[in-house]
Amino acid sequence: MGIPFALLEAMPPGSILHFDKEFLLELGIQWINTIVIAVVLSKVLYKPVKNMLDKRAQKVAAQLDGAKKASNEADTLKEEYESKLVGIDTQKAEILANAKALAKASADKTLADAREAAEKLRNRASADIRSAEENAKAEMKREMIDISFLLAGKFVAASLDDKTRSDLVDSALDELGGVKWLA
Amino acid sequence: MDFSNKKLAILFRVGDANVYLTNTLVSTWTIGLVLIALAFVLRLMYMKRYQDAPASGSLQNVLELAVETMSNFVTSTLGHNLTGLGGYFFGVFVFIIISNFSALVGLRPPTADLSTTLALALNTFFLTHFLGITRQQGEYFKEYVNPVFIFLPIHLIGEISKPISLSFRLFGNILGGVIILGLLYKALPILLRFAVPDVLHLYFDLFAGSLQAYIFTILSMTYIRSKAEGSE
Repeated sequence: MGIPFALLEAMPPGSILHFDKEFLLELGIQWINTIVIAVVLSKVLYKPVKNMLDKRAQKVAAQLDGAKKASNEADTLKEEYESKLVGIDTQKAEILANAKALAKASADKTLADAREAAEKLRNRASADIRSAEENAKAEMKREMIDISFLLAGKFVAASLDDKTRSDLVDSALDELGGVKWLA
Repeated sequence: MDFSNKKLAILFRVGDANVYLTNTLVSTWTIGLVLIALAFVLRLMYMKRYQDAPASGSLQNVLELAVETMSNFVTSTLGHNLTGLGGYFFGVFVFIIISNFSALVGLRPPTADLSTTLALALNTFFLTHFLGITRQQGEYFKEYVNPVFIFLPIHLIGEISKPISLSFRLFGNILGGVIILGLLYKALPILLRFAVPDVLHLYFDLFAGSLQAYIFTILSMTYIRSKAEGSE
């Protein structure tokens, strides 16, 4: 051992308080001791724990910030979607209304066309019927006249010349024109 | 009765003066080694078992509580510009309080020796004036002649008396406790020495010990802040 240890008995008496060269040396040693202890405690224990605490505080703050941001984003997204949904509703109603109107117009048109066509058909049919009826009437008149002439001829055969006969026929036709029994 | 700081051996010689191994040195080194070893162990355990949300009462929780309390104390006393000194004052506070408590395990408290308390007070003194000069510059020197030049000696005496009062307050309080308890142990019959002194230990070692550690730390911080920020 390099330290020159002396026996306890040989030591000078201790003191409570003394101001001399020895005190200055003791002061120097204690100065180093206290600084070493304080600095080691600071560097080994205080600073690392403090750093962890600070880091954790930052982390918590960052997480809170993130949560707030995310919540804000969610809110804006929600608003956007809601406004879009409202738009979709109105758009849907518009499209439906348009489609309905279109369908109604086309149905009306079809109906009107059909009606028109039916009307035309009916008109034509009734015109046909009317003309056929008239033809039939005229035919019948002519037949009856012929029959009448045939019968009358049998009765007045020899006494009538052609001229008188044609006059008679005309007058008879005129009379027949007003006859009601064929109507 | 002998309450002196006994010389146990000669460590080395400087010129014609001996450097002795004293009770104070033995207890300082013992406390220092225990504290430093404990600091390393606690740090290892802290880093190994670190959790973001420690259980209350766990080692991490207690350690963080201690550090955070010290940190808040430093911030409120020293202000936000000097929080870097928090580690130093943490170390000083722990050293003083454990020194004061060390009488409980039979050591002579290092703080019952003026060399320890004066060393701590000189640290405060140098920190105070170093930070005063670097932070306040010209303003620092103006305060010595405030309001007029004649007040310079008074200011100087005031500044010099600060480390003296700081060191003697701690030294005297702890030495007083050592002496009173020593007297009591001598006066009591052997059988009574086991229970009766407890009350005085409670007062002189635990109560006065914590109080003096607190007072030393907070006064040091106040001195440093008043110089570093100027006294307006």
